[in-house]
Amino acid sequence: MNACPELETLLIGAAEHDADALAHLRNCPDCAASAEQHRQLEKDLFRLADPLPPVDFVQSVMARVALEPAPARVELRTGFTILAVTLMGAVLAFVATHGNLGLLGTRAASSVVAWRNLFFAASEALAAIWSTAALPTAVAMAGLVVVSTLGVRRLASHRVVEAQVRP
Amino acid sequence: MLAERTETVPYRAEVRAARRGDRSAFEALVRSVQRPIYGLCLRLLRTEAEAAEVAQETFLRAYQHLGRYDESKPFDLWVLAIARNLCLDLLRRRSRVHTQDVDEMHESLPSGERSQEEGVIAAEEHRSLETALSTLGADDREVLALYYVQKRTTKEIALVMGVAPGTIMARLFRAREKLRRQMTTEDAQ
Repeated sequence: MNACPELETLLIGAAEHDADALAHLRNCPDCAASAEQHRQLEKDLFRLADPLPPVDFVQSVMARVALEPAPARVELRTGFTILAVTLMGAVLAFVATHGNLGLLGTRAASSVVAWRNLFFAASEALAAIWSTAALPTAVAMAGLVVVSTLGVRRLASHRVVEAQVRP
Repeated sequence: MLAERTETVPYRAEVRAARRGDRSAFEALVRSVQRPIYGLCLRLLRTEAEAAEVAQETFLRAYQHLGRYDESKPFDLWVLAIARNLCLDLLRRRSRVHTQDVDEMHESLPSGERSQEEGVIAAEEHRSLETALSTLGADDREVLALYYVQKRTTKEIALVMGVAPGTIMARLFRAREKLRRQMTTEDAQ
């Protein structure tokens, strides 16, 4: 007889009517005994039932729900907030450009060019620092990364409760 | 089975009414799914008071976030996922297990087919199974409770746990194997 396969592989194979798994179970008393224990355990587990909640459970839930605004009203409020912020942004853009919204494109392009120049200047500055003091720079950067990571972890642990309503 | 359930999507009318602010529709939803929700909470948390509190909080969160519920998925599975997340968060915050609480749970979890004929022996077997179950980790208790106690399909369990459906059978086997070893040890003692 071949060496016994993993019990997990064997039982999953048997559940899927795999011929090799079934043949092994027929010929190996040890594996057959383990499989029988699993079968009996499944039978017992299927007999378990969920308990009944406390008798006042629904009333307690509904008492808390009664204090909440209707979900549709919350959605509506969120929608109005987004709309109001968008409109306010549009009005601010209109006022900032003295009524000439075409200026926005020019300003956006100027801003892109300014940021691009800033990026190149910062890159050159970093390269200069690196070429003159590589080790202190590396140590300082590593320290910065460690402190930031610890800060983010602490922040995340406070936000766990909010993340519970993911589905 | 999930596909069948998805096509019919039970509770859709109640969910829509509840979204519009019909609290009696939401109450009907709570009545319909309260038992599996409370059951999962009790299996995971193992104390009645905490299970009731977390189950209540689950329904409150479900009501507050009804707008985010995807109607193409079964409502009960969505609520189960919220309950699961709340329980796991509480378990993470817990530092140790109180044996007194475990004893309390044994008294409160019923057997689905307990009858007078089964009598003392069946009750003892049931208690022994619950004791062995309570020694398992939350992950194992969860998958066993959803599959065997609540009779969920592997696809439904995967949806609740947020894992690939193909991993559920392996998780079930490992949990059952731990349970079998635990019960064998108990029998030997």
